[in-house]
Amino acid sequence: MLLKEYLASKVIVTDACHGRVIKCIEYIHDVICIACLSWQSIYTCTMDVLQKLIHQCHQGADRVGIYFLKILLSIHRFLHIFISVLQVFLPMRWLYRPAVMNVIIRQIYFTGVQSLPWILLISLGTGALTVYAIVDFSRRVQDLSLIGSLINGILVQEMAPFLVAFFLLARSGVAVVTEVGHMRARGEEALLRSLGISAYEYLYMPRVLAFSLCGMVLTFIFVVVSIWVGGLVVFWTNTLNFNAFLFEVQRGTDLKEILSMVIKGMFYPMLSCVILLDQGSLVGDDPNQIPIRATHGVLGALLLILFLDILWVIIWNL
Amino acid sequence: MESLSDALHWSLIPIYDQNVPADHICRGRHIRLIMNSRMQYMLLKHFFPDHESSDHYVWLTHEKKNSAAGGALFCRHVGSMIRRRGLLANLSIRENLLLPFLYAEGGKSLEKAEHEVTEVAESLGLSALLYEQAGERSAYTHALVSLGRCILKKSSVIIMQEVHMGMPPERLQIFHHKVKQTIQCLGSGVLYLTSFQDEGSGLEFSQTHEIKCDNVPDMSGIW
Repeated sequence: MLLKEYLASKVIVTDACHGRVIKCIEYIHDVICIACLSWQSIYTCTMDVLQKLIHQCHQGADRVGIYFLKILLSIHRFLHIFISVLQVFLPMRWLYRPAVMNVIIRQIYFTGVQSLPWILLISLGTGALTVYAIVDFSRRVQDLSLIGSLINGILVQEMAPFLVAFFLLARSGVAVVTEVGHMRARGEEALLRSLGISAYEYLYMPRVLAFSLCGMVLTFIFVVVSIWVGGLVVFWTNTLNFNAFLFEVQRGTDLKEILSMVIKGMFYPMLSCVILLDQGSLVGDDPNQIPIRATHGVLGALLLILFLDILWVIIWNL
Repeated sequence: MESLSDALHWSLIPIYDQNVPADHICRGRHIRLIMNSRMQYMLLKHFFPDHESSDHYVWLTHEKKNSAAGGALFCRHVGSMIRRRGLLANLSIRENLLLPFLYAEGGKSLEKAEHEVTEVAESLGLSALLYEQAGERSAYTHALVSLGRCILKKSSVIIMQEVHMGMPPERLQIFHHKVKQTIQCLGSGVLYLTSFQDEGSGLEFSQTHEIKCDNVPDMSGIW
């Protein structure tokens, strides 16, 4: 009504056209009202959509933030375990503790000795196939000097540490998470604490040490067996003389590459083991978490090995 | 290992919105703290921390020297009997009894304990199980092994936490008898944590503190 009165006051009209003007004003008034209502509803709808969009954006940002924080937390836990294990390892007091030595020996037996037949079997197959393929390729391109460098580049530096680390993860990795997880769930870490026994020294360090030592030794065995078996296969198939093959391998070998193999063979399993221990320690008092943590541990360790390998290649080629 | 001067002290310990009053335990002095099990676990965190404690809430006085909770000296003299926390499943019962000595550096204490372990196992009725792998055992076996460790360590102070829980009545009687006998024999002081006013394993307490708190957050998993 106020609008109508306002419009009427502004328009000076005669009586004759008064009725038409009034209708016109009413019409304009209706149009304005409808426009206002439409605008209001459009505004409300837009604001609703905007609010929903902002809420979704916030939720997305929350998820990204939580994911990022989780990654940071995992890195912190990883470093904490790694540093704590180093702290108990370096003073070498564990050498004088029968309880710790007993665990170390047991872990080396389970991780290294029991894995040996499997590693031999894998190295037999891999060695025969890889070396044969490399020698055959070198013969085809008529450059036998490639044999040594290809075997070093592919078998010694890449395949051996990778396959051994994967094998240890598949065989002993799950066992580590399960064992540590069960100990957590049963409250055995609390018992150790009440006896003044460091869980890092008694539980974690022996496993990390066993993984590192066995990883290194098994990688070395893998390489030696693969090359010898490959050489024999090449000789039996009359592709190349065995002595000539060994000569080419020796020619393509250098200390730097062996060092790379040793470092990878030791560090890949060692760091994988730290991830596995971290996941095992997250089980808490809920045994249902054990399979979940085992899966996370193995997948996390696989990703770590892949990431480290890429990093290694980049650093190596700098 | 034995010393008449051993005393376990604690200052006022805040737990959630309550305080555990400061007190001490020396040989022959038994104190009972009545509180719910969550608070018990929170309190145990102060007595057995992850690392040597720096919060100075709990310390042991041994031959006029103070040792903070979690330190080597503290753990050597303070025994623990915690509910269903007496065994490592992958060790034998004998190894479980000898665990503190197997972990300690230097073989003298281990040799001595190895000589005594058979006798202790016999007195506790564990001789038949001595070389068996621990695996999953009853609350009674957990409690007996904990008690056996305290005997071997000759603990001057023992911290007990609802160790009787889950024992059948006939076993409970035997256990109470063995605990009383051991504590009389060792002359140890006892800090007894329980949720029940009428529970005390038949021991006589010089002091009982009751700490009530209904709104303790869920701390399961810390122990």
